[in-house]
Amino acid sequence: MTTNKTGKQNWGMVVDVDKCTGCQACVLACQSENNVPINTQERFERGRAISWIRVERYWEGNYPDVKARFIPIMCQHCENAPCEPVCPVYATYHNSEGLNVQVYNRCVGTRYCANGCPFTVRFFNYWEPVWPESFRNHLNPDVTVRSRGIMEKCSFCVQRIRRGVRTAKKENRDLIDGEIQTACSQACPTSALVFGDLNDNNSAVSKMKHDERTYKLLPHLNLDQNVVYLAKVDPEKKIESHSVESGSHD
Amino acid sequence: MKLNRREFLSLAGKSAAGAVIFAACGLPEKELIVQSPVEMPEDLVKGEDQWYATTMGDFPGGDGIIVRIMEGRAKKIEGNPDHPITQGKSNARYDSALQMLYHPDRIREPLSRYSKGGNLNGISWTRAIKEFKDALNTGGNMTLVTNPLRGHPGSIASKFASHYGGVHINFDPIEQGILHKTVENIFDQKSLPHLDIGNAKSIMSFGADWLSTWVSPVQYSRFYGSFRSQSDRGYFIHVDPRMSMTAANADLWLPVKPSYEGDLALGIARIIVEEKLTSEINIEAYKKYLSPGFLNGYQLRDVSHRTGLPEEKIKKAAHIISEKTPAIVFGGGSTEAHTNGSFNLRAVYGLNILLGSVGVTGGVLPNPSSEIDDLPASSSGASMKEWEEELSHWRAGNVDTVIIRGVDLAHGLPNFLGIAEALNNVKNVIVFSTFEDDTTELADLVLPDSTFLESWGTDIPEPAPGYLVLSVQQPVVVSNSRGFADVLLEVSEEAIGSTQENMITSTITTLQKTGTGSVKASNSRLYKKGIQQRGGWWNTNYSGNISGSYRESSKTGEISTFSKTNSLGEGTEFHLIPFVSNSLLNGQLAPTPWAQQNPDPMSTVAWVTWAELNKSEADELNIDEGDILLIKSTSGEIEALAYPHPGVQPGTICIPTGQGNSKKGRYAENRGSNVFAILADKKDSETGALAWAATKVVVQRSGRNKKVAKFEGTVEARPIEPGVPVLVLGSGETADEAITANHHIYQNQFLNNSHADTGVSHKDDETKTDH
Amino acid sequence: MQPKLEKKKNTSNNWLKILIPVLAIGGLSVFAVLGAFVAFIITAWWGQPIPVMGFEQTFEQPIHFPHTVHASVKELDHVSTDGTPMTGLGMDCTFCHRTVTTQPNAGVPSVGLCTTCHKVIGSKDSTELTKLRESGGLLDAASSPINWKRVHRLPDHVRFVHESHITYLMQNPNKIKNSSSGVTEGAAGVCSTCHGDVASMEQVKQVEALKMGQCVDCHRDNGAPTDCVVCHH
Repeated sequence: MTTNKTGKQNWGMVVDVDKCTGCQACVLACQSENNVPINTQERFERGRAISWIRVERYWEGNYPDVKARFIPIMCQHCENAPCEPVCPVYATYHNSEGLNVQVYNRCVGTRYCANGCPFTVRFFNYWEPVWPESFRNHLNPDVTVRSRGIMEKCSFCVQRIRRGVRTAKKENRDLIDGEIQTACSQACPTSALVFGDLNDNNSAVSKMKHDERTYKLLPHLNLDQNVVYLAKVDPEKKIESHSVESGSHD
Repeated sequence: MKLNRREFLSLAGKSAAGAVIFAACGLPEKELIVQSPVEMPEDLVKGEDQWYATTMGDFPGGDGIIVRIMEGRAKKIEGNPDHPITQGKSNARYDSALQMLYHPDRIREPLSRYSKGGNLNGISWTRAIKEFKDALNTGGNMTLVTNPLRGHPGSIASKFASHYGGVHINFDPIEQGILHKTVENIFDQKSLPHLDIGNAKSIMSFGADWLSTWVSPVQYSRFYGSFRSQSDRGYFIHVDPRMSMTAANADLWLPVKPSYEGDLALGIARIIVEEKLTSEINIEAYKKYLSPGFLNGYQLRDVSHRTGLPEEKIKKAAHIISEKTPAIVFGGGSTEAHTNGSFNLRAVYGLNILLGSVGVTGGVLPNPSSEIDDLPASSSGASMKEWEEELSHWRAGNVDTVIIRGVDLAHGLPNFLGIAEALNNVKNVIVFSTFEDDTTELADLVLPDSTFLESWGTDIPEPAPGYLVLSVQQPVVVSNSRGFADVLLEVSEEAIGSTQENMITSTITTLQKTGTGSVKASNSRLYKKGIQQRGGWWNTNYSGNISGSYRESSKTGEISTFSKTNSLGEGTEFHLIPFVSNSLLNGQLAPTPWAQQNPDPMSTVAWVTWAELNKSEADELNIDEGDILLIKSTSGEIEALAYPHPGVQPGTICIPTGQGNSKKGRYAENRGSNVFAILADKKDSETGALAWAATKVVVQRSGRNKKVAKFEGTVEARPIEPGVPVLVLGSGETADEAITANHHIYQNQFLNNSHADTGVSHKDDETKTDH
Repeated sequence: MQPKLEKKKNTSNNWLKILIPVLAIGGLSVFAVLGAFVAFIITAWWGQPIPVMGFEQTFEQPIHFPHTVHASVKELDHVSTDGTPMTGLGMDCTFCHRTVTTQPNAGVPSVGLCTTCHKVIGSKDSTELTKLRESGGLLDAASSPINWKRVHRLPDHVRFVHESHITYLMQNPNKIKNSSSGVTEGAAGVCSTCHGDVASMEQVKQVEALKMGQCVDCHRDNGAPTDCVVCHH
């Protein structure tokens, strides 16, 4: 783990894929919290739906031994983020708290970052978001409504982090683990998503990330993500011995 | 003069060009307005968010929620961390309710129709109440139809109906009456028992999509999380003809032939009994009320043949649930929706007796029936048989007034019942509804109903978490809409009670007198406040008894029958299995765009009605994704977009509920198809419940094709290793070992094959591909 | 050879026919762009401050509310109905803007708060107070909210939190700039850092541009975070 963090916190998330049921609760909670535009039918048909967190579903095998695998994917908040160096206007950068930040007012919409992201978690606003007047009532006042032509992505609910930090400061105390929850981890009914401070050795995420099921997506890219996955367990899986091939490649 | 970048940009911003640009897209006038309210409520602090505890009334489960209110507007709904059902968790439907509240197409005023077939015209509330009273005072028969209600609204509805000498019946398009009857029959429990999934070592569920929509999904999902995090990871078997979201999470999915679920359960019982996989006492208890040769017809070979499942899988399931105990076996959903539905469910729940799971931790635990003020603690929709009877009265003109509330009767009842014609023979059809829908189209008087965020109410969660819970619902936003229960009270001129709030207050006072439960306070006002703050009242001390007895049905000759398709013309015959939509439910949330666009967990489809069918079978029939299929049954015909995937049993076609509304606001209007409409007239032989999974359909290609609106394909698949999108570990394997193993498999294939395409899973099978 | 030459000449003529207008249009547009750019620079340089988006903006409010009468401590131009000279009441900003020390928003007081005093205080004939009393439901009309025009408005992509700024400046009064009429203590002095001397303005106007540069400068001077995401999310 890198420890060159200057900030006090290093926000991270542990996703227990074994507990994810694919129920989409996180998707809607995120959408509601972060004023994500309504994905109209047209957006879906043109492959331009915006979803800061999504539950991907993969098929494995064929009927009747078919398995469906779910995996929630959101911005991985990489320490070595490929999206950051390509931005010509510094609209995305890494802050001292381990967040990969998207600054909407700086973004000019080159979409380089989206091309650079290996997880496809960055979404471009091809259209002005449209809400009927009355739906504006439920927009979250803590989150900027993104206009057309800019990039958006998961912010680890930075508005909740700010609010939590502010409250702790006001009450003159340290943050308590679990006090700050992202909308998705709050919603997740099976607690498959756990959010917290990776720098705090006693936090739930720190303890979970040392599990032997821990892995990160695309390890060969060495992105050092702050989102850690715990692998799915399938008691039906045949574990294949792999000693045979050990020396067969060079 | 030296300028740095920021200064330059700031100057540029102030420049004339900047001014022109800004002026051209100036701020809308309204954004420059700050309203000062007239009188701020004591507890409303401007600029700060407040979280109010309330309840998801009118949604199954009785989930306790908290609503974030800012400046009087509801912003977010989350699970109530205090509430025993939700404990701070939520599902994919909570927030959609915000859009019900703020929907631009809500009915704003009462609407009246002068004559059948005329137009609806806006009238005042005063006049609407008068018309309502006039209709009731004619002295004719009255029927009150509601969604299954518990707590105060349920009590008020029943009292109202009896006050006017009418009947109160519940309607639920996906009937669960058999479930309630089975539970009563086997466990002698009035309300559904508490399934202690979190502490079970293995579970076997039949048909019920309990992680998604069945009964109390948030509660069960929470349990599932604990079930999976036990040191000895729980084993989960699911039996379902379709790979539902729940089936997808199972360690072993058994795609049983529809309606043979009961046979499978008894086949498993026979294995356990024969191989003595459980204790003698349990076997004795199981056999106690059964005739000696009861299990004779369920030899493994026969069961395997009938269910279409390989013998070894059935054996395996039997071994797992009997070895990994405590084990829970439960079911519902499509398992009970057959002509032998009662038989199936009894066989399923009976297994708990054989496994010794009744009344033990990690098994089936008792739940209290309501001890609070005679409030109903359990409810389910009336059976199809009862509906047919009721509708025959309507058709004959014996009923003068029908009051419908919280259900879209015309949408939820199958075509063969002829609801439109029946309602046309009723003199006064009074409908409470938040949106115009198929039922308001047939109404004479439409009264706008408030959402659960605007009105008082209580709910007694069913199933309770093993003890008594009263969830309290309170208005969290200011609104001038009126709740259905309060209108009933007003119309009945306080014969039942003055207002719902007062009735709830008096119940709360009764609770205080018991001196038990989650709230303690010195006086009744504080006590009520305490309950409102916590979102309800619960008493974790409950020691009830539960025991099980498995009895054969008095009815003999259990057979499963399906509707015939002989006269439906050309096409391929399929077995139709409707399933409840994860986001729209049966259509309650169809008006909201959030629910419409929330991708289905399995197909990731949104906005449209799709039909799932087996991929290989679709290939044989030359059906591609997006082909518009005509699905015909004896009751009618609908269209749906084909969505072939590998998780459907060949010979079945699965269609989600909720769409196909003629109204319900701009987002739902004339969108998709209503699968309820084409259900055939098939009933459970014992209870007369609608066998909604017993319809055979004939499927034809229409020749038209449309792009399916779905999320998959929007983003590229990013496997961790070619062909490995999700890392899967075997028992005891670590992530590093699995990654190395995958790597070796890949490398091996790469070296042996010029084109490396297959890994642990097939690249071709991946559904997320680049556009 | 002759025809060939001619042909060549023709083609070159055709070339020119196209080239000239292209050059002309090109030249003109280059000139136009350059001109616009120069105009842009000049206006940016000398043209400021041009009232753009909030800067120096003020509005005619639905009720002519004099901040002077309520907040000032000096003698006023304002004369009471009986003609006697008036001194400002010197009320603290936080008396009406109650949530400013605890919440992100300063908050506009409810009409109810206004009418607590104005039920009795103030002439019956005052047209402005009549409007207020009408809104408060004290007269025949039903109560209704007042739609104040917002004077200080930050763009939607900025999240400004009053509470932390006020708390900091209360603790560090030496950091207060633009102190109003010499007051550096209490909320009045603190607020003036960004809002100017509101107590001396009969109609509030925005005196500071409230551009990001000001925010960042101040944040740097005081060691406050300059991480973008602190304000932009």
